Order: sequence, then C-alpha cells, then structure tokens
Amino acid sequence: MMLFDMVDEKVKANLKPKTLDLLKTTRPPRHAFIVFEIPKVIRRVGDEKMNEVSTGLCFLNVEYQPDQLATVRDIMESKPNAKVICYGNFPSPTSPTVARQKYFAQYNETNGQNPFEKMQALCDMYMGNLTAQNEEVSRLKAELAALKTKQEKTQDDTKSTNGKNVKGAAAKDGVNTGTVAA
Amino acid sequence: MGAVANVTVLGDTSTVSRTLSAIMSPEFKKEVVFVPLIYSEDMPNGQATNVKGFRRQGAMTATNVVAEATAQGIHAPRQDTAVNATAAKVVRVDGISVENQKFGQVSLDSYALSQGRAIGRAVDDTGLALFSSITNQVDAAGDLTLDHLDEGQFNIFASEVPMSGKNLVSVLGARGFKNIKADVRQSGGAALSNERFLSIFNGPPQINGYIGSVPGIDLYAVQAGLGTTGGKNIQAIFHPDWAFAGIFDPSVSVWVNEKGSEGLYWEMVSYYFFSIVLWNDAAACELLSNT
Repeated sequence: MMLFDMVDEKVKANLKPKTLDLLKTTRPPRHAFIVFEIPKVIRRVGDEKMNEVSTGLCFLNVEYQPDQLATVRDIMESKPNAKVICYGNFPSPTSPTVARQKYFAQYNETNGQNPFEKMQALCDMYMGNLTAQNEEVSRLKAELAALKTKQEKTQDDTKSTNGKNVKGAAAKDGVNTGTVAA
Repeated sequence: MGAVANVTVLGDTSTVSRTLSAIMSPEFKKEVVFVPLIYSEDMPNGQATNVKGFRRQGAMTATNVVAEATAQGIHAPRQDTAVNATAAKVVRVDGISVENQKFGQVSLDSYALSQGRAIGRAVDDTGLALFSSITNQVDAAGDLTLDHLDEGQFNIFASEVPMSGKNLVSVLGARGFKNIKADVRQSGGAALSNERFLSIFNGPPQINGYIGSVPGIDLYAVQAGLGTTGGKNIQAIFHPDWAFAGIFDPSVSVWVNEKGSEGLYWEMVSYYFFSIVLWNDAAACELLSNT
C-alpha cells in the first residue's frame, strides 16, 4: 500500500500535482508518523536554470515522542502553505497487537489523557480545516448560484410587467407593500 | 562385532543438553550516527519550562551612498528570531521475572544496556526524520554522485551560511555510500591520483559512521533509519554548527521497580528527554538518490 491510498479524497483535492505523484510512489513508514506537504526548492545537477520551486513530502516521526505538538505547529506556521496530508501507525487501545496496546498505555498521563490521542486530534484539526474550507466554498458557491438564479428571475418578472414598478404603483395607491421595520 | 557389554556410556551419567558459548554476538542494529554531528545544549532543568529557544540573529543592511546634506532615516530594525525545542521523553519498559533473575544468566545490567541502545537508536532516527523538512533539495534522479554532493555544498554556500572554516557533513545511506565509492573509482586518474578523494577507500566505516572525506565534506553513512520519498532515500548535507540543534539529557535514567500483586517481576524502565530541531533551514540541503 502506498501513502496515496491512505489520504482522504478531500485532502487530495488541495494537494499539488508533484505531491500527489510522490504519494503514489512512497510507502508509509513503519513507525507512527505524520506526513506534510511543504514547499521545496529543487535543483538538478546539469540543469543551470533557476531552481524549481515545487512541493515535497515532509515526514515527522512521532513513534518515540508523541507529545511534540509544538513541532507540528512550528511546521505549519514556519513553512509557507504547509498542509497535513495524513498520519498513521498511531498506537491505540484497540491496536491489533497487545504489545502495541501496551505501548500506547505507557504514555498515559496522570489526567487520563494520552499524547497519541492529542496528536491525532491536532492532525484532524489541521486536516479538518481543509475539509471545512472545501465545504464552505461549495456552500457559498451554491448560495451564489441560487442568488443569481433569483436575480435573473426577478429581472425577467420586471420585464414581463412592461417595465412598470409594480410595488411603487401599489405604494402610491396606499397599498401596504411590505413590513415596516421596528 | 557388536557393542561391548557393561561399558558406562555418556547416557549413564548426569548430562546437560548444552553449554553456552563464551561470547554473545551483539544485536544487529544500526549505531548512533547523526546525533553527535549537530550542535547540542543541556536541558533547561529546573527553569520552569521544557522549552529552549535556539536563537537566530537577524541581519542589517546599510545604505550605499548618501548624498551631501541628505537625511538618512532609521533603517528597518534587526529582527532576531528563535526556533523552539520542546523536550519530550522516549521510554522503554521491560519486565524481568523473579525466576529469570534467580536462575538466569543474563544480568539486569545487560537489559539496561540494551534499553539504552534502543533509546539511542530512537533518538537518532527521530533526528534523521528531520531531513525531509529541509526546503533546499538536490534530486539525483538516480544514483548519488560527487556532483550531487557538490550541488548540495553549492546550495549551502550560496545561502550565505557562515562556514566557520569547517567541513560540511553529509549523512548518506548504504546505497549512497556505495554510489560515491563507485563514482570516485570511475572518475579516472584525476580523482584517483588525488589523495583527498581516496579516504573513503582507506579501511572500513568507523563505529560513528564516518566513511571518509571529499574536499570540503565529511561523509558519514547510516545503515538504517533514513526515510524514503518517491522510492528514494532522504539523505542530507549540512553545516554541523548551524543546521540542526538539540537539547539532550546527559544520560539515560533507569528505574527498577519490584512488582508483587501483578505477577512477581522486576519492572525496568529507561527514559530519556531530548528534542532535535532544524535550526537554520538554509544551512542544510536534502539529497535524494536511489535506495
């Protein structure tokens, strides 16, 4: 299985083509990891043109230090347009092997929380932002389309009354044409 | 002729199934290579925080020519920044039964030593994983050659990194190590007659991973722990003083707890606090080459 198969479709929609190509040819690490898309300046020997500004994959190894939430935030804030692509191999109470479940339990904090769960929530938040943004854009586009349709219909209705302002005529005749705001 | 009767054979005596060899071969796991190559400081112990900021000095510019009787306003301020290293622990826990302690031949010290080595590898691998966060990249698109190392050196030099009179350091994988040896061998007389290129042929890799040097670059090889992207090893060339930084405990802490109601065993816990950060991105360059 390649990393490409682990990435959510909504996240893939926001990734650059170079990143998607790399995901298709990169296997996931065996340890607990987080994958980011970050900018890369690529130089190839023999190519004397300007450096190619592109994107690449950045891996964070969280197997031994799951509580490095600050590192994740640093990457997201210091690298322009950085995105969390996916994460994997996190131990949990329901991991397939007992050894992995015990490994998860070793990191339990005194307040009942576990750094692997907190790291997972942080990643979901960063990944969820992309999903939420996509949904918001879709909703706004649908709303805009509905308003445009309504505007066109209103213009058509106005034309069909031979240019007369029906509401204005009603007001002149003393007909209550609307609600007066309090 | 049949067996002779009434001869006392080995089976008539008290025997053991086997004895053990005088020595035990070591674990077949990689050595720590990367951590000794970077700048390091102590933990902020007792300072009410587990965060240490590695500071970066900003630069100033000066106006080239100021005409006579011309006012010169205040220039943009120097902006110093910092990269935060947040200490976190790596842990290894083992349980050793009282029977093992009483009748076995492996001492608690041996288990503690193995735990320490496992922690060392974990720390090293966490540092090696930072190579993928470097912005500048040289993609070999095939096998690694000396030209690619030079390209990486060029990238760092062109980023105006203070060289401090030191060689850059390059950490390669096993394949990268092989590729460089092949490249030097195929370079012909010019390289082979220059002693500075031949150090990678002088003896085996050292225990710290040092394999030799080429002009301006010390080469190290790790046997495992490098990440991969697009089917290529993620290696790096970097300035040893300015690229990466870390805070480390002086030693691994070990606890031994005697357990009773849970099953009569000794619980041995080893833990170690550390943090490694990419301090100055421009002082490093990622090298991608075939695995």
